[in-house]
Order: sequence, then structure tokens, then C-alpha cells
Amino acid sequence: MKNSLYSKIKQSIELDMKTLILCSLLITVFASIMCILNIVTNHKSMAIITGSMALWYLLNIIVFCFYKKTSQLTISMMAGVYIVMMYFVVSGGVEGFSIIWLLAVPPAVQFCFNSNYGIPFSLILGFSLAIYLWTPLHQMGYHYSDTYTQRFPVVYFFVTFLCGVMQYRISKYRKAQDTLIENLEYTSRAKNDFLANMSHEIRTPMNAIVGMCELILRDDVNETVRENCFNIQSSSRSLLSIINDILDFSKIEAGKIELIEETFNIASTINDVINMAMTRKGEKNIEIIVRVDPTIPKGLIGDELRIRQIIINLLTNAIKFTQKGCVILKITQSRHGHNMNLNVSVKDTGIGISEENIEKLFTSFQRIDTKKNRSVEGTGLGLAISKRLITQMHGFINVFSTYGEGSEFRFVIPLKISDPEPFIQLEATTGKNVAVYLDWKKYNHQQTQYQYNKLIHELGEKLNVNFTIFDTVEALESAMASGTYTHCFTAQDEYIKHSNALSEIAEKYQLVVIQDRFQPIDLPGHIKSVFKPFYALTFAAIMNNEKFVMDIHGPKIFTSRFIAPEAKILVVDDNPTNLKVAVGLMKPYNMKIITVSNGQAAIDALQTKDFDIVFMDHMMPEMDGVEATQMIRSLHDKYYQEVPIIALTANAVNGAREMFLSTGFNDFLAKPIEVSVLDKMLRSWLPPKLLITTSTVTKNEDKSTKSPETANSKTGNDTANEFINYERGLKYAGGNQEIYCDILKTYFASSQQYNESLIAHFDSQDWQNYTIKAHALKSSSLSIGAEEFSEFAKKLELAGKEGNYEVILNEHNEFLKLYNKVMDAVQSYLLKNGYPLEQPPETTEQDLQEITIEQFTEKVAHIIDACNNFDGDTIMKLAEELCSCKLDHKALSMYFTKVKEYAEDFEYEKALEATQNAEMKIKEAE
Amino acid sequence: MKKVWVTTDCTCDLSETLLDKYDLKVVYFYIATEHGYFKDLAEITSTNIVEYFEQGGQQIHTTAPDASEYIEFFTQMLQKYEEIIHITIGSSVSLSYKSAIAAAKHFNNKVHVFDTGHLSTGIAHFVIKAIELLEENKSIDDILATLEDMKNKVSTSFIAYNADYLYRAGKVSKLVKNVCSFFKIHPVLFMKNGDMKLKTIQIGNYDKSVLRYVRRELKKPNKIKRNRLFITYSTCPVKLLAKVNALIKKLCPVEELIETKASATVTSNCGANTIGILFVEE
Repeated sequence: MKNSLYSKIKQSIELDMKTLILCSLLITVFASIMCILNIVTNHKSMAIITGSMALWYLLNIIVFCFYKKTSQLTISMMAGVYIVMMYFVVSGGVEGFSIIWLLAVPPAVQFCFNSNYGIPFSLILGFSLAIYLWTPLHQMGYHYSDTYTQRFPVVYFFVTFLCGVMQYRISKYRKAQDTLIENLEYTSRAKNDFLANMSHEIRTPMNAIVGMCELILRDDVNETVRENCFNIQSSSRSLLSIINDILDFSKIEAGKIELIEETFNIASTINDVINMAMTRKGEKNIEIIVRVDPTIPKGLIGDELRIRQIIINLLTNAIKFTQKGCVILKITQSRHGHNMNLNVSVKDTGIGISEENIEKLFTSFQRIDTKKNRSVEGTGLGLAISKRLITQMHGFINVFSTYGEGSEFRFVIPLKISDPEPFIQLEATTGKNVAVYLDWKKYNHQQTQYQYNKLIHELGEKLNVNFTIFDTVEALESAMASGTYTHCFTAQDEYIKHSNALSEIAEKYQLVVIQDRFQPIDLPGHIKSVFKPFYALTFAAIMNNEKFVMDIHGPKIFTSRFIAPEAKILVVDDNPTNLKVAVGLMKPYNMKIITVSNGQAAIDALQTKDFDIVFMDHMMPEMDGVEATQMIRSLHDKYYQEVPIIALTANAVNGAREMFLSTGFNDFLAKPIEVSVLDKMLRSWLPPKLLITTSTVTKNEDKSTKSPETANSKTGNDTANEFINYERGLKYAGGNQEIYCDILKTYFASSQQYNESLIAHFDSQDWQNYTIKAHALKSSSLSIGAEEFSEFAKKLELAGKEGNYEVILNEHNEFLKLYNKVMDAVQSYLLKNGYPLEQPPETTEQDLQEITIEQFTEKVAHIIDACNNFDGDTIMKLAEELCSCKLDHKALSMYFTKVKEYAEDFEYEKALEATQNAEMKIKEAE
Repeated sequence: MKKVWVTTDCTCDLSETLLDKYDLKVVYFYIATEHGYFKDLAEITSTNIVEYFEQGGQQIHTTAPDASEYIEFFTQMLQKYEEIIHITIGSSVSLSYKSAIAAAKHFNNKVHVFDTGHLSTGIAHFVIKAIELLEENKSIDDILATLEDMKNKVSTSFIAYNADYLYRAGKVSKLVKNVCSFFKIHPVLFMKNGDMKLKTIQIGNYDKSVLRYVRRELKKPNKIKRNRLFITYSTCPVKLLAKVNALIKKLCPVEELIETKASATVTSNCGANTIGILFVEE
């Protein structure tokens, strides 16, 4: 709208300073020429008037250069024009009728200047004319005819009136345009606000959906319900990502997204996007091929988070719209002095885009080819967001597509270099000859064959390794027999098909099998294995023979051969997906895993000194892993010097190990984490006393899950207490008695707090919180086997939800009594099984740790962040930490106990609200 | 190993598919914005240039490859071929030719640089002709002589939406730019004797002006070689492109009617919605 006709008219009729000066200058020049001509032709009076005009305007220009006021110059110009006009009228000009030109004055001044000046000037001139011509004054000057003196002012006023009307209409039109523009801007703002608010509002019920699903999944439900519930949860998470897209877009539209330039390593970005892409791909029968230039500098400066977001957006789209063939991620660079351009291309063999649709591809909320893509979900915002982010980073995005054949999205972003060393380097390349056995026939899509070929070719070229590709096992065998090769790479299917021949090769040479991430096969110990996608980083890892290269010993990739239920692990990573992957992979070890998202949070978490290993991502925002490790090592306690800190890194390059060891890490684990390597790592660094080997576990399980009769022989009548069904409880704990006792201990430890809360809420008739407590007790009690009490809690929860408070009033006391009996039963069971109970210590004012307002603000920011990400564990952990702190001698537990409780009950929106309120109150008090 | 092959620069405006088809390697121009330095075609396209200015970008500079880049390029090429014929954009509109000549001196007559005096797919006509002659086993001298003869037969012309980009590139004055914008004048430019000149103007509705331009260019179809004709555009609505395509097929059907997108270098000089039809006369 800004470029509308109105704007053009407005621009053309409103004179700015430069134009005014130009006009004055032109008049000066014109008047000077006229003056000279009049002197030459001996018209003295005209020479004087034109000369005066020239001087007047010249003076105006000079004055204007000092004062620079448009209005003054305008008035001054008009005054000049007025004097000249009146002179012509009085003197009769060159010829008497020349004053007819005066009729041009009203339109000229009204359109050249604005109507504020034009109309008064025209009127003043008109009245002057009327006074002069209609009174005897006109006898003083040139003698006009009577008809002329009578009619001319009338005609002049008529012209002035016409111009006035036109001006009035134009001004009305302008006002209407202004209002329209304002309305449009308002509507656009309102749309953005609406989207932002709605997104926020949708998150509230989403919170309930995700939370409730989590609760159901924790309950003992049958497989169908579990599956349905899982589907609800995963759909909810998809919805959450859509909402986040809308929020992101609203922020970009409002110009609220600020880019954060930090040093980052592209290896980490690539690893993260691959993890994400492989998850999105799932079971889909397409290949994801990653072609990365290993010479990209190790240290880049830019907003890594946003770059990752863009690549993930493009990859997600490509995977969504590709049903067969492959998706190719290509990352290259071009250097220009100290800067470089990062070139990323995401190509697919999907449905392609028609030429008409390419034009509207980056338009927000626009989904193209909706008929064809009806089954594909999405907001149509991903590309619009990506494009805006790329533009904000001063880069460019392009799309190339052939309808029905596939598309390619390419973007380029200029980045600064902080460390020019290549991010992938091989230790030694001389004498490394690699044979690759691939059965091309299985890739029925030509593009897949071509891209794999290219990938291998590029690896050889960039890393200076000789590759030879064989497409039959016979050719491979005869080539390997020549003894010129050092390594042989093959894929899982090829290995399965020709396991005998390949096993023979593996006896003499290093065989590496590229495995499917979701269905890996068991391999003998001497055969190395990597997961798809195979790319420069994994190849470099193998060739460098680094420790993190996967040697599969175990029978199955996701089974562990020992457990360590007493071990406490801290995992530090800024990427939630990486955290989930790490936690998921460590789950079979039954360890206690705490996750935090940055270095400072890790240092805070280590205050408890009870972690056995810390897994630390080395590249993180705020405080990175290296800095955090150095700070931990500098703390004055033996524990901090000795606690094993393992670097999590995707930077699998030559010399990385030395770098990490020199900065205080004990070891490093390459991302993507391989279970076998993790297994080794845990064996190496966990205290041996915490490791229970599988055989021991089996024995334990035998002991703990033995039949009730056998169990009775040791613990008396333990399997079925009046209040607790121990057998059921044990089943929930995976049949492991130690874990079960651990759960019981946790249950017992929190009992006092629950008891007090129930009484407090009952006394204050805070039924909402009472219901929340009853709800929490329902699930936790069921998990220990306290079925009757769980049922009772469920009844009170239901009553609370339905507003049937009478039931609570009547049964509260009975409920507490039963709770106490359950606690007694728990206590007696634990004592009988040799687990002495410690009453939870009461925190005194002296025990509270004083924190600064900055530390408080930082923690609160983390809680808010965690609330937005529905990250209950982090909220609880941080709220717990704040509960044990004081600020200006004021305990923070009064605010953050509530936050913790909300998080426990998956009420993340409420937790967010409570945190924000607490922050506001505390800061007000400050 | 082929003995002799043809190379050119990215201003020949051939698409990646066509470059692959003719096994052509090109040397890239660079575009400098306020925030970065981008390789033409590979990193920045005509669409990006247009969007850059639409979003308030102020200035863009195009940089021809310098002698050192040419040396690197020729070195790579000479690993594959014994001799090279390098065909460049007109020397009066770019420094590319001079850099290529300077670089060629390092290779003992193994690199033969040819100045087309044209731009865009006007160059492509020379390139394809050279390849065709090479395939007919013609000698380098014969090829260069034939190309020299072609100089006056290649018609490189295009119609620009307005003179804004020509003004930005310093080709016309501000007054001309404003007059063109105000009166909806669409300049038609063409290459003559190596220089870019104003051929005519079209006034009024742009779609109609483009079609008038096409009719005018093809008014003597008998004098046009019917083997190949390029429609080269910077950015262009799909519908208008279809109309142009249909009109050419009607007025002067050719064996190969190829649509190509102009490089960012060419677009930065002629602007959005520029369309050209480029052919060889008999």
C-alpha cells in the first residue's frame, strides 16, 4: 500500500527542501536572464523588476541555507511571487492582457505547495486584485478596459474556488487512504497478536493433553491403550511444534527475533540435524545421503541455532514429500578472505513443485498443491520462517524443482571464521586404500546410486583416500586377495547376503558395516560398525581409529550387559533431542540420570557432589562444556578434581582427544552416541562397586521376582500386605527389588511433605491444590502397589474435580489414616529388607544458600524456558534448587515449592505462571 | 581425453542442465552486497537480486573473475584438455576478457580467448557453435574464424521493465530513469559492435510491450537461423513467459526454443522482468 497511487501523488505534490531550493534557483536564473535581456532591449522598469526578483530569490536561498526552514522559504517565495504579480497588474506588464496569466496562480500554488499555503495565497492575491481593480485605485496604474476590470477578479475567484474544491477532494482522498493504511496496519498487527495469543492459549490445553498422556503411560494399562496414548502424545508434540512455528513467525513478523552470533562447530550442527532427520524418516523407505565438505573451517561465527532450524525445516519438508529415492543434504563452503559462505543444499526425489507454485512457495500460511498433499501435515510456515531467517542473516535461498521429479533448496549464508582448521582431518592418509562393496541393484532409484557414488568420490578426493567401488562380492574378493586394500566398507544388507565371504575378508582386513539405525544386526567383535547415514565424519572416525568408533560386542545394540541402579549420571547438552537420545540410551542401565541444558546449570547441579559421571556437550550457549569443565576442576574439593567428565562431541577429528584431555575432560564420546562405546565408557569410569553385571542382575531378578512363596521365606508375609501389594509393586519396578526399594524410599521421603500439604490445603479449603495432591498420590501409590490407597486418592481427586467437596470433607481424615498405614507398611518392608530409612531433614534457615539476584534471574529464566518446553524434570530440579536458597535472607521455598508441585503434576502453564509471579514479587521487593 | 574443449563464463546464462548437456565448465562472476560476496549462479540468482533491492538493499557490485582466478580455472581445465577455447562476455561491458587474456599468457598458446562482444545467451550461441564445430573436428583457427564471422549475426537484445537497474548500474542518468518510470517507458537494448545501445522504446502495459518487442525482433523470420533461439529472462511471471513462448512458436518456429534464466550479474544490470530473445541471423 505504501507504493500506492496516493503515495506517488503525495510525493509529487509536496515539495521538500531540495525542490524548494531548486525552484528558487531556477527563478533566480530566469529573472537574471530576463533582467539582462531587458537591459539590452532598454526596458528599464522591467529590468529593475526582474533584477529585484533575482536578488530577492538569491537572498532567500542564502537565508534558507542558514535557517533551513521549509515554511519560511515557502512564505518568502510566495511573498516574492505576490509582489511581482501585483507589479504586473499595476504596471500592466509587458502587455495589459498578460495578467491573464494570473489565472494560473491558484492551481500552481495549490498543487505545487500544499493547500495550507496555496489557498490563503490565492485568496490574498484575489482580494488584492479585487480591491485594486474594483476601486478607483486602478486609475493609478495601467488603464484596463471596464469589462476587464469588472470580470477578471470574478473569474480569478472562480478558478480559486475550483482549485479549492479539487484540493478538498484530494485531501479527503488522502485522509481515506491514511485511514485505510492505518486500518490495514492495525489488522496486520491484530492478526499477529491473535496468532501469538492463540498459540499461547493452545499451549494450555496441550499441556494437559501431554501431561495426562504421560500419566496414563506410567499407569499399568493394556497395550492398546498404551499405543493409543503414545499416539496422542506424539501428535500433541507435532501440534506443539506447529504452534512453536506460529510463535516464531509472529516474532519474525514483529521483528522480535534477534540473531545471536557465537562461535560454533559445524560438526555439532550436522550431527543434530542428522539425528533429527533420521527420526523424521523413521521406517520410510528412503535413503538420507549426507555430503559434507570436510574442509569447512572448525570454528565458525554465526547463529548456529537458527542455521540448524533452517536445515531441519528443509530436511523435514524433503522427507515429508519424498516417498521413494533419497534426500540429499549437501554442505559446502566457499572462502573469501577471512570470511566464508556456508552453502547448504537439500535435494529430494519427491513430488517436485510446479513453476506457478514456486512463485508462492515462500509465502506465509500458503500450502501448495493442497489436493496432492492433503495427507501431509504442516502449517506452510516452515519455508517462510526459513527464508526470513536467511534474509536476516544476509544470505539467500533458492529453489530449483522439476514437477514430479524432485526439488532442491539451496541457501547460502555468509559467516565469519574463528578457526580456519578443517573440521574433519585424517591422521594419516598414506597407504589407505578402501574397498567399498555396494550392491547397486538394491537402489532402484537412479539418483540414489548417483549420489552415493558422488559421496564416495568426494570423500576420496577431499580426504585424499583411494576408494574402489565393487558391485559384486566376487570382484571384491579377488581385489581384496591382491592385498592392496586396508579397509573394506559394506552395507548391512550386503553383509547379511554374503556374510561368509565378508567374514573371511574381515579376518585379514578391517571390515566396516554400515548398519540401519533402527534394525542393527549383531556382528562379531572384530568387525566395526557405523550407523547410516555414512558420511565424512563417521568415515574420519573409522580411519582415525578413534576410541569412539563402534565395535559391537553385544548381542543387540540396545541391550546392556550390566546395570548400575545406584549410579547417578549428569548429562549436559543444550539440544533437547540429544538429551533425549542420551537418556534413552542410558535407560537400560537403570541409572539415575539428571539432565541440564548448559554449563552453569551443570556446575550448580554438581554442588550436591553425588554424581558419578558427567557427560558434557562441549559446545553450548551461555557457558560451553570446556569452560564449565575448567570451572569444575578449579573448585576446591577433591570430588571436583576426580569426578569423571566425558565430553560429548560430534567433532570426531584427529587431535580432538588430546584437546579434550588437556582441557580437563577425562574422555570423550562421539555423537551420535553408540551404545557399545557408551557401554565401554560406563565400564571404564563408573566405580566398580556400582556395576552389577547381567548375570548378577539375573540372579538379583531371580531373587527379587521369585514366586511369592520363595519371597515369603525371606521377608515373611511380604508379597501381600493389607495396604500394599508388593508383588504388583515389584512388577512395576521391572522385577528388581533394589529398584523397588529405591522407589519406596523416594515415596517414603516425600510422604511428610504430602501429608503436610494435604492438611494445609484441607484447612484452607484450597480444593484445587488438594485435588492435585490427591492426583499425584493416586499414581505414585499405585506404582508401589498401594492399590487401595490409590483408589481412595482417585476417589478424592474425582470429587475435587467435580466440585463434590462434601466427599473430601467427610473422608479426609480416613484418607490420612490410610496414608499413614501405607507409610507404616512401606517402612516395615524397607526395614525388613535391610534399607534403613532416613527421615527427610528439615531445612533450617542456616542451611539455605544465599544467592545473588543475577543467579536468581538466571535460574528463573531457565525455569521459564523449561516450562515452555514442557520439560518437567528441569523445572523440578531448578525449583528444588531454588527451594534450598535464600535471596536477601528470604527463603525462596515459599514461592518455588508450588512451582515444583505444578511440575510434578505436569501443570507446566501453571508452573510458568507461578514462576513469573514469584519473579515479579521478588523483584518488586528488591 | 578430449584434445580441445570450450569453456566460458557464467554470464552465458545457460542452466545447469544445459551446462551438463554440453559438458561445459564456466568461470564464475561474483556479486558483492553490503554484507557478503557471493558466487553468481552457484550462490546467488537473479531472483535473489530482485528481492534484495525490493527489501531495501542499496548497492550491488558485480566483479568479473580476475587473472589469478582465471589461471586457477585454466590450470584445472588443462588437466583434462590439451587446449581450451575460452569464450567471454563482451570486453566493453566486462573486464572478464582482459583477465582471461592476461591469464592465457601463462599457458603457451594453449588457451585461446575469444571476445564475443555479446552477453547472456548471446554468448551461448557462440559456445554451442564452437562445440558443434569441435565435434566436426574443425581446427581451432577455423573455429575462431567462424566465431568472428558470427559476431555481427548474433542478435542480443532485451526489453527492460524500466530503467531503474540501468541507472543503478550507471548506464543511464537519473532523469532518464525518472522519465521512464513516469511514462511507463520500457527501454529495448541491444548489443552492437560490442557495446550496449538503446534500440527502441516500448510504452505502456508491460505485457503488451513485451509482445510488441518480440514481434518487432522477429519481423523478418526468414533471416533467422531456425536451429536455436533463447528466451532469457531475469524474473518473469509464468503467464507472460508462456505468451512469449507461444508467440515465438507462431512467428518463427525453431528446432530448439530454450528458456533460460539470466545470471545475477546480468540481472543486476537490467533488473526484474527483463526478457530477451536471442538468436543468430542467417
